[in-house]
Amino acid sequence: MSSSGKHRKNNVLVIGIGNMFRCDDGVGLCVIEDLQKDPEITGVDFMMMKPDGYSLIEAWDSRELVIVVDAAMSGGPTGTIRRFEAFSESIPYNLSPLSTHAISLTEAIKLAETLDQLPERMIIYAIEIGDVSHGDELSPEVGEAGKKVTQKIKQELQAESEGTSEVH
Amino acid sequence: MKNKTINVDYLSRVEGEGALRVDIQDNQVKDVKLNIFEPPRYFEAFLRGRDFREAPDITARICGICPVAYQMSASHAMEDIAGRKIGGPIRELRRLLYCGEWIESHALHVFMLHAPDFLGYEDALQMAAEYPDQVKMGLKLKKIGNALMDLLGGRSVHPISPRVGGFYKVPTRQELDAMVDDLKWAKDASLETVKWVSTLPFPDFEIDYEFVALRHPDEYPFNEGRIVSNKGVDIPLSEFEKVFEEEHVQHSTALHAHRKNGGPYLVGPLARYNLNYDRLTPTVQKAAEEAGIAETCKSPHKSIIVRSLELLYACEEALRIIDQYAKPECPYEEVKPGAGRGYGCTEAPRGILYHRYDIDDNGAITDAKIVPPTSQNQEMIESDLRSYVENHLEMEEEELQWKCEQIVRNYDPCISCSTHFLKLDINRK
Repeated sequence: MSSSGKHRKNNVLVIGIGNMFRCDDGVGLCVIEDLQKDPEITGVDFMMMKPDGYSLIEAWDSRELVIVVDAAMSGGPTGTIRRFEAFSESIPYNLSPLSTHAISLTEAIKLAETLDQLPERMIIYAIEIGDVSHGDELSPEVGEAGKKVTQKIKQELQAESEGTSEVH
Repeated sequence: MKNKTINVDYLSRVEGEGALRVDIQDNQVKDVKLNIFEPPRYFEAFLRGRDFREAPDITARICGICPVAYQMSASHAMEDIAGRKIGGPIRELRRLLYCGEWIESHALHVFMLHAPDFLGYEDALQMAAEYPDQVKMGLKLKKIGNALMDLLGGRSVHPISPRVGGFYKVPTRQELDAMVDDLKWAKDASLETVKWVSTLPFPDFEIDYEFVALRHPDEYPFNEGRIVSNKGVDIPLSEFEKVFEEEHVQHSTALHAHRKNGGPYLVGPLARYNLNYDRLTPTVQKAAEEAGIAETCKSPHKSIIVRSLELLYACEEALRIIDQYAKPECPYEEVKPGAGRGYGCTEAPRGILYHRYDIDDNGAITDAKIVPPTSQNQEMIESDLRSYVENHLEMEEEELQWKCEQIVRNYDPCISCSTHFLKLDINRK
């Protein structure tokens, strides 16, 4: 994958949110680690962060495309993957479930909208997690879901660089 | 007999989980308890047996907001055991890293957590609609603080570069120079912030605090100094536990610290400022004078001005350090302590963070004691709440509850450190 697509370098940002020491909550970070290792992906910025909405706003301001991978706890089957176009679909409020302070991803989007600091487009991948005990291993279902999301994001980035339509 | 109960199930804009209970009986305040129910984390216990070099990284995990403070206090304590004082550019870089943490933490509290209280908003999200420029300024300042921590620490959350003796990697002159424009903007923005927050509506309320902070012969304190107070304390770090003690109270999983002869004390920006005003730069002193709080400030509400002044100081100090920087030949000095005891106390954004370690001949930690700022301030917060409620017993329930929440936020408590949600109960009987 080349950065010679329509977007300039640094205008695409992929963010993984989570805590690598709370088992499944680290899945967003694992996805970023895998994407960073892919030599075909260039001209894309990656960020791994704890659930801190304020830093999200700082990070995604002025970007053309932001892809966020976060853990979700909605009570659905562990490993379920959901994809949202952040500005045209409603987002479940239970993303970043382990955030105990700062603001959630959903609140960060609202604040950024008020401040006119949203990126042009934002895609959110939410992976349903189960085990959030202390530890650094993903459950098999969540590990598998992480690999699928990694592939989907590679396709999103390819489509973005070629200026083609979104991938589902 | 008047019976009244106020319940707040969730108190936002504080770091961590806890609860506040105020019992009022026959129009008299019977009890005020800041309950911290975050599980105790036993960091001091699981440090035992670990190598002395691991302490900075392990203790940094205590808090995502002030990891630098933990790394600095732990590193200094280990260097103290070895009888080493790290000077030169490494010492300056440690101050610079601390500047980053103060800028990040203070910007978050001033703009996102504290300012909404004075302007009548539930939170920064609401405030942003009418004060977008201020919220944007706060976010940008926070970003600059994070960038400084990223550069020096390897990453902003739980930095990985600091170590006993210095850093694993230090920045180049060019990397630091690249921060200068942002820091110059941040200095101007901080000055604007001081002017803005000084116009906020403040209640006429002062407390005769015992302020406790570090004091250094030449500097506004970050990493070094004696522990002093405005009520007679002037001790080396090694005497901290002779003067102050922690006590387990049944209603909280965090220990409460107080003076051994009784009485709460205050650590943090207000304490640092009142005890070290003469160590601030002329720019900060002038800004303080124009804000109407030169030399002394005993109002917990006006801590927002003091945090803004410390923001300004941190930006100026960062610029000074970068201007004078010469990259050290080696990013660290080798520190090899023998068996012994050492002390470290540094100024976290929320106040002094005390560490004491014993290590054996093999460099293994045999005992550790960590006293974070919030557990030192807990009694003071309870005392402040008690006196406020006593003086406002006739206030409507909803307003009293809101005011109590504001009082807690004046102290920027970090409950994550002291042992996350704060639940507020006001019970009137």
